[in-house]
Amino acid sequence: MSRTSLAILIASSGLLVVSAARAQSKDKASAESAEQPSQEATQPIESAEQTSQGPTPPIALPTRQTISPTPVNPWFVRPPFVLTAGAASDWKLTIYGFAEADGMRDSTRSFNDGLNSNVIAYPLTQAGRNPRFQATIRNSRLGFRAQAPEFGGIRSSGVLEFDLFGNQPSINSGGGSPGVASGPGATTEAAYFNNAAFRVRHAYVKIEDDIVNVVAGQTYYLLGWQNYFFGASCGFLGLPNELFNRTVQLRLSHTFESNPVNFEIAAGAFRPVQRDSGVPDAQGGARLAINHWKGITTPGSGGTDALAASIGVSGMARSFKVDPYAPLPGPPIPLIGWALAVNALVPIIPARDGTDRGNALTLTGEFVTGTGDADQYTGMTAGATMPNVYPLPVDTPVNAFGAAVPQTTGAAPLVGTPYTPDVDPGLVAFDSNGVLHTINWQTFIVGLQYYLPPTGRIFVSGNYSQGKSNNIAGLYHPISPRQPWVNALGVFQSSRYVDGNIFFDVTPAVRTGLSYQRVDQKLADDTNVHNNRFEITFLYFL
Amino acid sequence: MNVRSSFIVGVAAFIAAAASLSCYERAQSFQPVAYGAQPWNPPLGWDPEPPCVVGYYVAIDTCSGCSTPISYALCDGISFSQCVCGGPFWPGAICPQTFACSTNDFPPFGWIEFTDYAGPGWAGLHSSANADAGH
Repeated sequence: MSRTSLAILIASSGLLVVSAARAQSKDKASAESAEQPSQEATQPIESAEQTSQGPTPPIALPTRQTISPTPVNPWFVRPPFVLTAGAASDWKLTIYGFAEADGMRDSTRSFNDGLNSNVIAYPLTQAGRNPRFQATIRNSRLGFRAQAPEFGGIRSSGVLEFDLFGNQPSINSGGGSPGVASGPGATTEAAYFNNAAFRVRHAYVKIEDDIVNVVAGQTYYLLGWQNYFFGASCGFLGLPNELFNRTVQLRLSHTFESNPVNFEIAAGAFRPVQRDSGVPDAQGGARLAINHWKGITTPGSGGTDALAASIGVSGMARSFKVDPYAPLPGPPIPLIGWALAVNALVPIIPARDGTDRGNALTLTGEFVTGTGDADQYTGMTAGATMPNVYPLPVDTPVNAFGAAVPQTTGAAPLVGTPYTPDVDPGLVAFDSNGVLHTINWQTFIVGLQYYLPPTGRIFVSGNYSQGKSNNIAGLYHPISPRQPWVNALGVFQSSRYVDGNIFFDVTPAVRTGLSYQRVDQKLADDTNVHNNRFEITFLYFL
Repeated sequence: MNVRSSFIVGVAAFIAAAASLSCYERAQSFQPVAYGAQPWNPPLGWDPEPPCVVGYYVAIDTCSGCSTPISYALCDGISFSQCVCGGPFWPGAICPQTFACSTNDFPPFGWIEFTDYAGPGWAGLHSSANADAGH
């Protein structure tokens, strides 16, 4: 896959050069046109007054562009809901979000409403050979952004944003398979979908001055410079093999600004993936933006806007201190996890502002390599589990349920004694020799989005991603009597994802979409499985 | 710092990070299963049956660096590949069979004796041989 990834990156670089030339020629044409004066703000400021369609994503970094006061196509302009207070009306509260309804039909019973990076049911099982249809509003969203007037050169703001993917009891598994636990679930389907629970997405304070910007609270990870480089899809982000997650962090950043380009650096301490490691995770990155070369992009299914062409690099380092698979107390096993990501947003056919959508074509891409970093992808454990009990001796008699029969002679073994891993699944795993390893992953995703002329009210998008682990199959080999927790039929070692989407903006506030999404996975026992999904979506932007 | 130099610094930092991270050992080859445990090679003829399970020990007569009369070979889930010196008493600690433990001869906390082995390397065998020789 490395060669493929390299080829795509090289191809992307070629497109970058060609498109830059096109952008320059288009800029020149624009400058010469009295009808289309270019009056864009060159300073990318996250503004409550911005008038782009869709929710105003509360992205801390990078910030969104402002819309031109003379938009190319005023049809797309939708004023935000802004409440003001104070004598000068300089205390502001922006309300944003969207109501969303989705219906999706899958060829297997492997997924809930979000595909994310879950494991597909094993073929020929009840879940693997029967379809499923779901309807959900859980991706709806509500957010508040408060902004205080500047005091002493310090600008402050705060964001609270929620969706309806809150923690809920599990529902039935649809027949079960080695990769999907069988059972009735802890609540009904009706309660699960109709009484969706609130969940916090973002909750942070942002403090800015001319030297440094500080973000404290929960928002996107810095790895992958989320959410600047997300592709457009009806599928719920993160798409398979796409960096997408949020957590609590303290982030510092600074942008070196100039008229043609901005260069931003950022670093921060993040909630550790394993609290018992004793230290926070660290992430950092740099991003270059070409300010006058903009492309129309839609992160997910909403928030369409014009963003500057950009390339970003980012990295992560973290520590693990995992309890040994042995009687405790015992010395925690130290391991290092890390990841490196390269992202690009390339306006192949650029646009002048967020409303200049007709015939706009934008490429997004991401390449990531790392180990012990599965949590950076949404819901991705790949089925990799940790042991929950100490192993049975080879000659231990077991009953019909696989439980050890009490022995009458010799010392009592550790059979049945619970082992509680102090780390989330999917990050590290014991091999058959009892040695703990971090799980390696290498992924890439590329996406194209094209806004059909003349206006761009109709647009199409496609995404393709791949992910591969070069050690997970060895860690979860099916013939491993000393690893009783291993379920090789429920672990995937590689996956591919492709989707095709068409969106239609019925009004500036209403968007509909149709989507086809296919996931292929290669399980740890080399079995190939796949799932086809058709999805329809309706959105109303507040 | 201008934009160009910033970019160069950024790229250099990225390359340095990539180079340094690539040097990390993905997993330590030796991961102790108990505090103070160290790698241990069993003596010739060591052959406990059946295969051991993590959490079991065999009292042995030698473990590098130990001054205590009794040491302990520890099973890591595959074999007895680690050893540890005798340690202090802990509530519920049981001295290995046939032995009389002094204050610092006890097995590690929570570990259980593998009672089915009395071959080469077992500390009891060494003690018995010494006893037979009149020592």
